[in-house]
Amino acid sequence: MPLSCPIPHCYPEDGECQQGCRPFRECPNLQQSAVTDEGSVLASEEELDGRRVSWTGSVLGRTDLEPLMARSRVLLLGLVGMENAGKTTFLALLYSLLRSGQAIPGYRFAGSTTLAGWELIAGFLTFRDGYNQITFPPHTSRNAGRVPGLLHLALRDDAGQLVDVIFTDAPGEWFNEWRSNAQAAGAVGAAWTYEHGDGFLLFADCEELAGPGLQRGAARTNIQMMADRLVAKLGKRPLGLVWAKSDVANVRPTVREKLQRYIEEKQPLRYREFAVSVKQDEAVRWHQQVLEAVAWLLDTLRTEAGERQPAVVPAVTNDLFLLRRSVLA
Amino acid sequence: MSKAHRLLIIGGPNAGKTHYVGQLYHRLVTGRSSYRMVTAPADLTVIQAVIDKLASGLAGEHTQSGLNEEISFVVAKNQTTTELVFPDYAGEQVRALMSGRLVSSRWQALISQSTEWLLLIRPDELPVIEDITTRGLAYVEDLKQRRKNTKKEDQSLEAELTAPAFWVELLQMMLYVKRTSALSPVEEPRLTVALSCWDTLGLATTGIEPAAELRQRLPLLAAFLEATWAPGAWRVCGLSSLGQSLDPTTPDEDFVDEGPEAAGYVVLPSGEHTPDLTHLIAF
Repeated sequence: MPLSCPIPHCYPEDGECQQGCRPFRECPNLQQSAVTDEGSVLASEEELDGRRVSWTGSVLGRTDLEPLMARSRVLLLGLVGMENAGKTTFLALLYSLLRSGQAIPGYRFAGSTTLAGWELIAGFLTFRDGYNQITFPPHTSRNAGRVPGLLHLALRDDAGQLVDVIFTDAPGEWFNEWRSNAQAAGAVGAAWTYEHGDGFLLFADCEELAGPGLQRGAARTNIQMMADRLVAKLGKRPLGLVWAKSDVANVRPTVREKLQRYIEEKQPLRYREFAVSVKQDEAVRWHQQVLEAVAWLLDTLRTEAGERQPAVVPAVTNDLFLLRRSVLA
Repeated sequence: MSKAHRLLIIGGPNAGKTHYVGQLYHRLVTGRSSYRMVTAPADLTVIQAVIDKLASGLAGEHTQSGLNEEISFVVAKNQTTTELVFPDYAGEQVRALMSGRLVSSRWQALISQSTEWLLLIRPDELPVIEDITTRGLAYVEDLKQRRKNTKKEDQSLEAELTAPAFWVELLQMMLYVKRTSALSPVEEPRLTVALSCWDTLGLATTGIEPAAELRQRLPLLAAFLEATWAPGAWRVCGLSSLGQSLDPTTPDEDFVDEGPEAAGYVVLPSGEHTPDLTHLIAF
């Protein structure tokens, strides 16, 4: 029998009460309906012994951000680009690099509440049993919701301070609609990303930009329109331009140069370019530039006039009254 | 003044938890250790089978899933007493714990009451992760040929975590249950990561630092530990409870002659070997 609860952000189908009722079945707010809505999840009949941790490992939604926001200032990095431009592959590559022991310069990996989500996208770039062929992560569905799938990384900087970073993994169609109409119904998620993002990476697909005339021209216009939207209310927020699929031969260098100049003329305050690819090249260091792009965004966000802000000395005490955040975490 | 510690011994499937506790018991009762037994376990059922097997030069059996016994004994060194708690569960239970992100009330009690954790990881059974960061795309061409022979269902995606993510997630969950803040480096619980079955790794007998092995085999976990625990509050050791592999059916005659209390060693963080298995208890 499907369960429902009138309290916002209470999800009884998870088998737990947001207000802490135990046993959960006796919660006075719990409503059972005989009608099975399509897509509703049936709660298990068994009362759960024990408690769940506050994360599921899968990508986060908007309400899931609250426990993180309670412990530190969360930095939201928006990945912006057309469909198939390489946004998800960038994230998959980032995680694969961390997993194989490489680090974001200046930041150490200190955990994640979305490990299963990272593993899922990185799984596409992983050979299982040395047999299957790797594929690029498939298209991120636009039906995923109004808020993009959010992937979390906890990092500790060299000064020992904890930084929570959220990456948005949003479908390209959102940005496609957003670039032509910022108020379009299908662009709500893109607008959300732009409003709340602390920094952005704009993806330029090198394969498209080196393609045949029609494709090449359209790709360039699309990226330029997206850059226009991004720069409009950018302010001090950093913007990185990522040349994705950089291994593709640059047969039409003029297109890239024009695009480069176009964005530079918009004069974004904090702007840098990165070239990335899943292929590795020791000279150009495409893999390292993935890590450097993230480090640059974080460094830029956390510094004023090129200097890192002084570290806040963490409160070390066992007194629960003084250590409020420790109780929440 | 005496100080009480509670050590929780945990490990994944096949990590050799029961062998270690059986051997630890042998060391304590024969007095071949820096710790002495204060209170012997009232009920030895959990490890009795392993003790008997080892005495006959045989390998112990795999713990049955569903068994929920606990064994605890109190040991002391100088003025420090430590209660060792060893929940004897099949390693699969740890996997089940992870899949639901659900911590049972029994595990909650064990985790929140402990002040030190001993985590056993068996490195020789870790699958090697091959992805584009380790193999490169050129490898894809070789695979295309092989792929033609693979069945469709073999290519399905599993949401199961790979080994490095699994251990990070387990420790994150345990810290959460223990209500430890992630904002400052963790001082308590103190953590010992023991790489078990050290003898199967084929390493030189001395001078190999276990921390370097961990960094090489599970870099993500090593990075997580370095960023999460305070420098003096965690360490990596190596462990070979038996010093060799035993067969479950054919007894090893030399092992029987020497007695199980003479077998096994701990690799200290410095790379030095010591036969005193109680070195893993505290530091």
